[in-house]
Amino acid sequence: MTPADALGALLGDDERASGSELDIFSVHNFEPGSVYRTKARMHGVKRTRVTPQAAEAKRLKDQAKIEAYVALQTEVMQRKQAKEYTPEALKRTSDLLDLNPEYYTVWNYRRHILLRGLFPSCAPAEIVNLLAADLRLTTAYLQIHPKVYWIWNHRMWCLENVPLGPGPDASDEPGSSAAATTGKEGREGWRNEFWKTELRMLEAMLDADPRNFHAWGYRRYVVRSLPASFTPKRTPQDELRYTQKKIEANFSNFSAWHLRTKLLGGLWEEMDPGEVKAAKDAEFELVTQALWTDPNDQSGWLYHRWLIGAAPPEDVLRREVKNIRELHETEPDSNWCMNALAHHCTLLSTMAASDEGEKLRLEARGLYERLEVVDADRKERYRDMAQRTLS
Amino acid sequence: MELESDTYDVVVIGTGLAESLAAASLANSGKTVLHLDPNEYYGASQASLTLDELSSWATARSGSSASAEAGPSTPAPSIYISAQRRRYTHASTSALSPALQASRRQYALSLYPALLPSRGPLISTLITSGVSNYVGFRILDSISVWRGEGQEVKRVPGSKEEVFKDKSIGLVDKRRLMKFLMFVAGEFEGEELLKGKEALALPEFLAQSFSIPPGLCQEITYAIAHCSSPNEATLPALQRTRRYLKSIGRYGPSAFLVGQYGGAGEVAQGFCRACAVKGGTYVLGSQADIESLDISSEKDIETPITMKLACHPRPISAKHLITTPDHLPPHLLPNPTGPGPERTTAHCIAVLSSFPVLLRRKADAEETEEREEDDTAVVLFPPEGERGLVRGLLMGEGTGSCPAGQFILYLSSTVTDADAVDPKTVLRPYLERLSQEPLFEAYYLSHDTQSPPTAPSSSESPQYAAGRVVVVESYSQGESITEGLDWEAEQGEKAFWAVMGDKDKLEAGVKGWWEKDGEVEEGEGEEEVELQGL
Repeated sequence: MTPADALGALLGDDERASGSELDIFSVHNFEPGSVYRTKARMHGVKRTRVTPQAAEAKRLKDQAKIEAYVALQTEVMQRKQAKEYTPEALKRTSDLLDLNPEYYTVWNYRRHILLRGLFPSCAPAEIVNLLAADLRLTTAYLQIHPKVYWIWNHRMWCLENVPLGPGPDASDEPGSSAAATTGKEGREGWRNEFWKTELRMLEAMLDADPRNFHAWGYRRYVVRSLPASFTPKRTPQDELRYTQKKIEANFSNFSAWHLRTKLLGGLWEEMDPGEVKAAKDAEFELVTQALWTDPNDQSGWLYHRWLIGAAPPEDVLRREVKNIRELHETEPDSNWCMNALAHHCTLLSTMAASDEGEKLRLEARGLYERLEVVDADRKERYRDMAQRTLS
Repeated sequence: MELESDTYDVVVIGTGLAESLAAASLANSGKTVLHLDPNEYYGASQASLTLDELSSWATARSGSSASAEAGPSTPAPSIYISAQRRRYTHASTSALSPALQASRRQYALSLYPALLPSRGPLISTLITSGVSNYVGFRILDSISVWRGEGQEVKRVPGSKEEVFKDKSIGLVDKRRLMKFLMFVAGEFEGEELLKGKEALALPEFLAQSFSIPPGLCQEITYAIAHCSSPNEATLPALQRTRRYLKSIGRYGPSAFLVGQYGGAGEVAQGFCRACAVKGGTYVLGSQADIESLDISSEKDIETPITMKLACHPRPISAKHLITTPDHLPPHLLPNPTGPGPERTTAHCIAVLSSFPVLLRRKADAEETEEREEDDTAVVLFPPEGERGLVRGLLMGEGTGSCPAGQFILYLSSTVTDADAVDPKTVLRPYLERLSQEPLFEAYYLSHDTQSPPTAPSSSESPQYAAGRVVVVESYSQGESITEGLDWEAEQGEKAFWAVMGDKDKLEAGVKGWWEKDGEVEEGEGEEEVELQGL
C-alpha cells in the first residue's frame, strides 16, 4: 500500500481511499510500516470501499491536514538532528506520535530525550513520574492502535527503566504503598506497582480482543519479568488456567493455544514420563473437543500437531489416527482434517510393519489426491506430498 | 379533578406493554395522548406487582358476579373487571407471613414472565426510543432441561463455546449438534435436508436429517427451538430458532435478556414515562373509570370517540382509541359474534428461600475460576404422560425481583381440559421438584382467545376500518416466554401506524421510531460481523 493510503488511514479515514494519488515527494521521510486502522476493529469485519470520486474529494479536504502533518514532521526531525533534548521537544514528539504512532524513529528520539535530556537531572521519584506519564500515553494509544509494535516496545522500555526504590532511605509517608513494602520488597516497590498496572492493562486488552497476538506476547514478557518480590505470584498453572478460560470463551484463538504450548513445554521438562503422558492425554482430550466441535478451525489442528510432535509413542499415534479417521468420515470435506490424517498416516507408516505401512501410505496418497481437488489453491503442495508417500 | 382538555388525538385505555409503546410513540410524533388505566399500577396484564398487590389482584379476579357479599348496595363489577374475571380464573395466593408482609414491597412479581430476545422488535424499539435508559436487563445465565431418568436438570448448550465445554455430549453427537446449529443459522429454505419435511414434527426432522438421538432431540426442541409441544412443524420452528441464534453474542453468550423488576411491567412503565415526557396525560385508578363510552358509526367524523370519565366534568372526545378487548363493552368488540378458540394456561408464581439444589453447578475438578450460581435460569420440563411442557423461569436478587438470597420461580403450562383443572394441582408437583418449602405461592389460569389478527371489517363499526379504533390483541400461541414481548412490540407498532395512517404522513422533523418501510436500523455494519457463538 502506498504512503498515501497509510497517511489517509492515520488521518482518520474509515474507508481506504482507493485510487487517490498523493505526491510522494512531499512525504519523503514517511515510513509506512504496516496497515492499521485508526478505529480498533474486531476480526471478521469487512472493509467498505469508496469510489474514486469520493476518494478525490476527501483528498482535497485532507490537504490542509497533510500540510500540517508534514510541517510538524519536519520540525521534529530538525530538533532531532540538532540533538535537542528539552521538555519542549518531548511535547512535540507526542504531538507527532498522536498523529502517527508507528513512526519508530520518533519513538527512538523520545527515548533519547528522556534518557539523555531529562533523566540525568531528575531524582528517582521524578523519573518514575515521567515513565508513568509515558505509560499512560501508550495506554491511550493502544486503545486506538492495539497492534502497533512500537507502542508495545516503548512500554517495555519504560518498564525496564523504572529505578529501584523507593529505598529505605527515601522519605516515605506513613501508610503509603511504598512504606508498606519494606525490607526486601522495599527496593522493588515502584517496579511492582508498575507490573501490577501491566497485568491489569493486559486483562482489559485481552478481554476486549482475545486474539491480539501482541497482547499475548506482551503477557508472556510481563509474567516472566515479574520480580521475585512481586505478589500475587503468577505460576505457570495460573497462566494455564487463564489460557483455558480464553479457550473456553472462544477456542478459535491461536495465541491462547500457543501460550499453552510454551507453558506446558516448560512444565513437562520437570515431570517424570508417566506424568507427562497423563498430562498429554488430557491435552489430547481437550483439543479433541475443539476439533469435533468445529473441524474447520485451524487453531485446534495446529495444537494437535504440536502435541503429536516429531516422534510420538506408537500407541498415541494409532489412537489419534483412529480418532481423526472417524472425524473424517463425518466431515469428508474438512481440509484440516484430511491434512492431519494424511500426515499422521505417513508418520505411522514409518513405525508399522511393511504391509500395514504400505496401506497407510496409500491412504495418505488418496487423501492428498482429494485435497488437490478440494483445496485447489495448494494443489502443487499436495501433489508434492503425495509424491513423497511413494518413496 | 379535571383534565386540561376536552379533546385528544388519541385516547389509550390500559397501560399494558403494547398500548404504552403505542402511546409513547404517538406522543413522540406530536399527537396529544390521554392514557388511562383503572388499575392503581402501570402495566395492566403485563404489570410487575408487589406481594400485597398480587394478593389483591388475585382477590379481585376470584370474585364472581354471584359472590356471597353481593347485595343491593354492591356496585356491579365494571366491564374491565368482568372481562378480567373471564380472562383470569382460579386465582389464589398463600397467606403472607409477618416477615413477608413486612418486606412485601421488595418484590416485583410479573404477570407476564418473559425473556427478551437480544435482536427483535422490542429491543430495537427500546434502543431507538431511548426507553432502554429507564430499564435494566441481565443476560440469561442458563437454559436447562429436566431429565426424568436421573431426576436431575441438565444445562443445554446453545452456542459453539457451550457445545465445546459440554462434557456430557459424546464427540459424534457434538458434531451432529453443531451441524444442526450451522444449518439452522443459515439460509435453510430450499435446502435438500429440509425439502419435503417442512411440515414434519421437529423431533422427527432432527432424527431423520441429522441423526440426532432422542435425548438430544428433546433438548433441541424445547431448549433451543423453544417449542411448546413435540408436534410443532419444522419450518416455523427453524425460522424461530434462527432468530434466536442470531441474537446470541450481542450482549453476551445467551440470546435472551431478563428485564429487571419484573421485566415487561417495567418496560411498559418506561414507555409511559416517555409518553408523559412528550406531553401525554396520565390517569390511573378510580379516577380513570369510564362511565360511558360511545363510538360513532358515522364515517368521516372528526372525533368519533366520546367518553365520560370519573376525572372530568364534561365528555372527552378523541379522534382515535387504542385499547384491549377487556375495556370494551361486548357490542363494541371487533368480533361481536364471539371469540375464537381459547388457549388456557396454568401459572404459578412462587417465592423460594434459596437457590434450587438441582440447579447448582456440578463441582468440576478443572474449574477455571470460582463461578457464582446463576441469578436467572430457564428450566424446561418436557411432556410427561398427559401433562404437556412445563416452563420454569427463575429470577434472583440481581433482577430486583426479590430480597437478597431469595428467588422467584414462575411456572407455566398450557392445559387442555380447561374446565376441570386446578392450576395448583397441575403445577405444584413441578414446584416441589425444585423447592421443598416455598415462602409464598400464587396460582391462576389465564385464558387467551386464539383469534387471528382481526381485520377491522365489521360493518357495525367503520371506525375499525378507518384506523380510528385499534384493539390490541394479546399473544395466544404457546411460546409466550420467548415470543410474547416481541408480539407486544409489534402490536404497539401496528397501533401506531393505524393511527398515523399513511406511512408517508410522518412530518419532516418528527422522528418516528420505525423507518418508513417498517425496517428498523440496526447498528452500522452489524450484518458484516461474524455470527458470534457459531
